[in-house]
Amino acid sequence: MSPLHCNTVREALWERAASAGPESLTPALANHLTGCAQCQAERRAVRELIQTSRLIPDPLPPGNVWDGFEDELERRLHAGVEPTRWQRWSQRALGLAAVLVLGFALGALAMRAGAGPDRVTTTVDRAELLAALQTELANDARLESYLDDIEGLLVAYQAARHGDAVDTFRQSLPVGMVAGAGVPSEAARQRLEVQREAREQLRTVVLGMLTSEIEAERRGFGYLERRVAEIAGQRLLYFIH
Amino acid sequence: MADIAPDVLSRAQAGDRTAFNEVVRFYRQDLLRVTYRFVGNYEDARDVLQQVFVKVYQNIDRWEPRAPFWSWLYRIAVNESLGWKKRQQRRYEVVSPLEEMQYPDAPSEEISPLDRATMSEAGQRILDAIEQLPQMQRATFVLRYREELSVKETAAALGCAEGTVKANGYHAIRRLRQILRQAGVEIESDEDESSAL
Repeated sequence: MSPLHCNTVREALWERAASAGPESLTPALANHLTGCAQCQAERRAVRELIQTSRLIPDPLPPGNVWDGFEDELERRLHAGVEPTRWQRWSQRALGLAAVLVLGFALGALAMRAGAGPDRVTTTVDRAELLAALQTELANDARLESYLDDIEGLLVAYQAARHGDAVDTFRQSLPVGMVAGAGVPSEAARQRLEVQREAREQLRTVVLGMLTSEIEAERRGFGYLERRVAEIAGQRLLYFIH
Repeated sequence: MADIAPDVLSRAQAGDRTAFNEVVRFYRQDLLRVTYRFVGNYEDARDVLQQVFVKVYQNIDRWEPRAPFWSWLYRIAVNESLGWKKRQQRRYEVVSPLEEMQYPDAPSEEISPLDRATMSEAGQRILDAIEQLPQMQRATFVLRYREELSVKETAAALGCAEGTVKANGYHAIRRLRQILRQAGVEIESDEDESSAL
């Protein structure tokens, strides 16, 4: 066997095995192979792998694959469907702005909610405050409406992230999810469960935000609105990602 | 791969739409094969190919005839295909329940059962294993061993050094063999080694 190390030989063989034509082994490689059964086996296996890969047939494209291809391309060229990097960044910035605006809105709601004389509890303990809010806002139509708004914003944000139109994105929602559409399949049931969990998570985030805001107000922050917006923005962004 | 006549390219670069359409017709078959090999089904491969030609149209004036035009096209096709894969993975990854709520259907098998039926068992296993390779190893393997480009051509198509192609090819094959071995597939040849030397 030649003084070449097996690893060196195998590295060289792997590249040579890929050559479509007859392999050109250097005398040193050929010499090593003659005396090394392991490298011979390695060489056979690599050749076989590459040759099998080459021979895997691609299925024929459908006969109509080019139908309307140029017309569609023409439309895309006119529409400029592929957003530029700048457009993508703009979409992200818009998403961020939407989240911050929503944060301000929620902050304002919290301030109004916390301002009433008969509002929740007097304790500053966060857990108690949160529990009180949960009780008070259970089945509150305003909270559900806000959650709907947030979900709508998230859908728009995610659609922008994926470069889809909002309507197209919405269409990806499963059609069998509408209540009363019959007995859902197991997959549909699981998706419903995922939706329900997502809604609960969102509710928890929003209630947590409201709690923080009420706490902050009680502590007399002069710049409450700004802080609330920051908290809301950060939490929502965290939730989104 | 052969390149289209230089005068057609020059006209396309000058904004001649008829010439650009000629470019599309000349390369679309080969590029569809490339996008298919990355994407795994013809419907999406065709869609990615549309994006490839949009990119080509938007940037054709930047192509310089120092490298073959087809290698520039390959690079765009590979980038678009890999970008598509990435977007699909991001789209279907369960990064948050809300994301899952919007895109609840995980991607099914990318190769249809009908397509699979036309392949050998070993071929199917290899395609499955190729799917599991890291992005650049996969791109290298597809171009180098499926498209049968040379190291130099693969490097041009991927926009990397020839040494990188060799290293990625080496690691791709090693990784593929590991994956196949773990799946219980042993690729062995009955070929007589002494006759092959």
